[in-house]
Amino acid sequence: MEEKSREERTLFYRELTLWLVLAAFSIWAFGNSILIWKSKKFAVSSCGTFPVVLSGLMLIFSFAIGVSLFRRRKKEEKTETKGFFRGILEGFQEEMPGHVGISLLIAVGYVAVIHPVGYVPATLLFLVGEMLYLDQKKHKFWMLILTAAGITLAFYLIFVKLFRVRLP
Amino acid sequence: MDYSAIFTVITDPKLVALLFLGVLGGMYIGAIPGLSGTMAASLLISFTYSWDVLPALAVMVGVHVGAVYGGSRSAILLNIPGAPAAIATAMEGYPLAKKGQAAKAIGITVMQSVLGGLIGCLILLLATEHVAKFALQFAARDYVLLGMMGLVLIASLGGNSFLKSLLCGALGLFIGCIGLDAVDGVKRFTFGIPYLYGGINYVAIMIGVFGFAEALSQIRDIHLNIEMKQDVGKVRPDFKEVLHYFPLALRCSLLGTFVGALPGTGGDIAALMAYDHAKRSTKNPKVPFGEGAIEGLVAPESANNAAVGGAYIPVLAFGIPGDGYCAIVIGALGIHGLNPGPALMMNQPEVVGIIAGGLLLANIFLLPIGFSGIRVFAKIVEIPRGILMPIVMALCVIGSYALNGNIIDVCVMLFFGFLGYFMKRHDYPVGSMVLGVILCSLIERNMRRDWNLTHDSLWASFTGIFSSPISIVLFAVVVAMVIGQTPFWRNRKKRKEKAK
Amino acid sequence: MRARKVLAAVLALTMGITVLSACDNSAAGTTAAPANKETSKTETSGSAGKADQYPDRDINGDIIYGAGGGTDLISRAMGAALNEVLDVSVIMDNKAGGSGVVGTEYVLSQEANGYDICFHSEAITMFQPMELSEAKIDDFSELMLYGSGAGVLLVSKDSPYQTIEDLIAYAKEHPKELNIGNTGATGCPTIYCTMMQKILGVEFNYVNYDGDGEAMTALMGNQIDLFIPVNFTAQPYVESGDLRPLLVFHDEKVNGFEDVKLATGLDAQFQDYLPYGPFFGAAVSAKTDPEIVKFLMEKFTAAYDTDSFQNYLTSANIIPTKYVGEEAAAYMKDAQAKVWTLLYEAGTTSLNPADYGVMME
Repeated sequence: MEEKSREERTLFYRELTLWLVLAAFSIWAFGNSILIWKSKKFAVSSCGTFPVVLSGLMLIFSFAIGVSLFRRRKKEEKTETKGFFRGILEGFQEEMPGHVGISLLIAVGYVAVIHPVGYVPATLLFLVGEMLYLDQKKHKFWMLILTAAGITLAFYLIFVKLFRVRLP
Repeated sequence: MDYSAIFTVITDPKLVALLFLGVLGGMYIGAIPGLSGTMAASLLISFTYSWDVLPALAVMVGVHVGAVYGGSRSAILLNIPGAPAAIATAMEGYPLAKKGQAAKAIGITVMQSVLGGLIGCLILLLATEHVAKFALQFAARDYVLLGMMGLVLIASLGGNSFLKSLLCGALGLFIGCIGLDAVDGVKRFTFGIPYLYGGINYVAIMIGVFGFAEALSQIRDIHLNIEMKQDVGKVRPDFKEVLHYFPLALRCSLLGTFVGALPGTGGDIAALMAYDHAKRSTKNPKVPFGEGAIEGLVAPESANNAAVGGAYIPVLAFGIPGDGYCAIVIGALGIHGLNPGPALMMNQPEVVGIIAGGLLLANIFLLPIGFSGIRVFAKIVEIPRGILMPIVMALCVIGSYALNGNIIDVCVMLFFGFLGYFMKRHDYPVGSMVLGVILCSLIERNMRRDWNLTHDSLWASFTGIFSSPISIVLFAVVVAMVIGQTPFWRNRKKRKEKAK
Repeated sequence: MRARKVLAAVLALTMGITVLSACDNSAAGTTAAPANKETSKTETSGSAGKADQYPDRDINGDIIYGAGGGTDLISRAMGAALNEVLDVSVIMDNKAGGSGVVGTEYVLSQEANGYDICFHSEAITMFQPMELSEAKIDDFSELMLYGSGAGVLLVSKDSPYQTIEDLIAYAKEHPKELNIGNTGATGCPTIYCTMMQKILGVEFNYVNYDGDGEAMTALMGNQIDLFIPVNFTAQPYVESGDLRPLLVFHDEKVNGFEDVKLATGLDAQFQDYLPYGPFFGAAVSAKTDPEIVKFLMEKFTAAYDTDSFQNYLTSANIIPTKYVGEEAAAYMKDAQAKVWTLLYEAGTTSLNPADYGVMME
């Protein structure tokens, strides 16, 4: 049997993970909405009605999507499953390859340090870091620094000077 | 309406200059994700505090027109809508940019925005009192029906899976419920964060889902070195082309003006309704919708600029804002000692003049301003991804921070960026989710208001629809739209076309 | 090539470590030094409480609501007037959110050195009853209250009711039939309506709107039967004749509504609750040096007396109110007592004011 690409093998697991997240959220949402509705004595025009209806719909739709997902799975020939959790892990690797994950982490780091460190150093570091990491065309190092500094300055001028937004 | 006052105002060179600067500034403001017209308006209030009222209004009106247009720039170039009204523009404009036709797309949006804006302005000048009086007749249930039209659009925005669009729509609507309920004072899903009492800021969600998620997607394929070379030859659209799309533009502008005139709805909803209308009324688009259909650009752009003119109709007639920006303009009038109310047109003809005349001039100025720098802007898309994406990500962070100076908006942006990345990969239409967030308050508040009036009787609410001609018409339209969505109808259409 | 990847990975690692060590960052993220004003150079931010040198730089005015709203406009008018009597500028900024909670908590979180003034409305009195925030009136040193409003009961010009007595008579015969607009459980219209229910024994059916503007539009379109906005919002509509005033919720005549019956004239029991209405004022954190507080109170009083501010009050139809310092705090506490009692009796809040030592006089 020919080796299916990792993309095809993990498709089910990837869809499943996302679906699980959405379905779990729907359940949590529905539960909490019922609580709110109850506190308002199930009055129609209270603030509980809408969340209940919406989360109820979410439950129904996620259930239907889940059903079609599993039915599709049944139809396909089962490839070597290697175990459920391994499938999910591989799926995640396929979804978010290393370079995307690292870029994301750098961005999260940027947001986390922007307050203690301040706008200018954080933005500069972030831009230089990401550009270095992602640059495919191998531009010269000083060119990247210059661009990063230029952009940081441009944003500063626009947001702070022009719009008086208080950047950290 | 005092037309002579309007004439006096628009021939004052100082005011004209301020209008021009307003449109120019407004356009660039709207083009930057995270900056919006309403933000600029708040700043203008303090900036123009010590000015006279007419110059202050000139700048504010100019910025309004410019900013509403500006949202389409980043939508086309970066797939980041500057405002919800630009979501549809992004859907059609960005594929065009990918095909190298960004300049053409921008040229069309300029033309259509100006057209729409002028039509909206015309209606303002000629029919304010009538439109305003008509708008007053809209009851809570009529707003619900309008909102439902928007909901049907949710289903049609989705890709292949109808169920997934519905789930996303419901999810979006649910997210819109988060916050401190204005009526009961009950905290809904606020996790103990006071900042969330006002709900999750939909702009932060938009920036995350459209901006950050898009950046992540592009980073993923960065090895593929996709180049989007732009053809910047022909920017100005043909006169023949403009004429060809004119009927659609006219319909959408009328729709936009009217929706803008309704207090509580503005350009965002108008643009999306117009987009839906275009999808329904265009039999055989040259390019299918979602891949760069010109009709999909014409409709939302003309509608959202027309809605600006419409939004000032209730301002002039009653002193009530037609959209968020106008609310701040009314505040500005208050600062200058004028109390806008039903007597504004009688007592303050120069104010009416600067608003009506200002809108007219601002839309005219939009033409040259909008066409300026298109070639330069289009080239932005050609910047190598490794450089552009970090800039886009930084912009997303700063832009969402700039909304309210609160880091929570940035966290929201990151979260939805992360979620949106996965959703896009699995055909869960994020546009539907965003639409849900935006429509939630319109629909929920008006539905509850209607229930208040019928003393919580669902039956009475339903039969109430048949007690007013406006409601009957709206209801019929909604029913027709829903039927048109069902597989049954769609199959009928397909069979008819096959038979031809 | 490899060097670059390594460098980038090191950067990511550094950021990650900083994240872990900076874990005590509060969600509101306001731990950055307050030196964010571009106009002033801050030599030492640690000059806290040096009363004789105060103020040596620009002061931040934090408005708890968004731009363009009633609180925003009067706060800016006061800010402009303050600029006339101070050597430094008061830089106004909106810190909206959470029905006033965000701005209030922000001011309390800053150093109590007198450089952050909270420009607020009566919303602060709602925090405790509605459990919106831990902030209490006593956490502030109230500087001054400088404007207030009174509710006016309006009907549309097509309404069959010509006097308040007609309306009340009909309402008594048909409880919960007449539709009244309201702007939320803690909004002034609801408070006045609760007063009417208690004192006159009438019951109306609430229809909810997002603000005075929306409700008045609905009233003009005859979607609702009556509404009780604050006098300054009602003024233009009464002047133009689109809406008719039937009752004023105040104990003395209000400008622009001189011919309208006063609630206290309708039933003496209203005296217990009135005057009550929206009010606007400014405060600093209670931990501020008393010398600075005293200085600010003098300056606010001077600003109040300027022509520019008085003109603003007149043109905006806001009732001039002059309570400084202790008087202002007492006024606020009294207002809170009244509104808390009414909210508790209406069932909007489950917290009994008596349990918190809050009593009406």
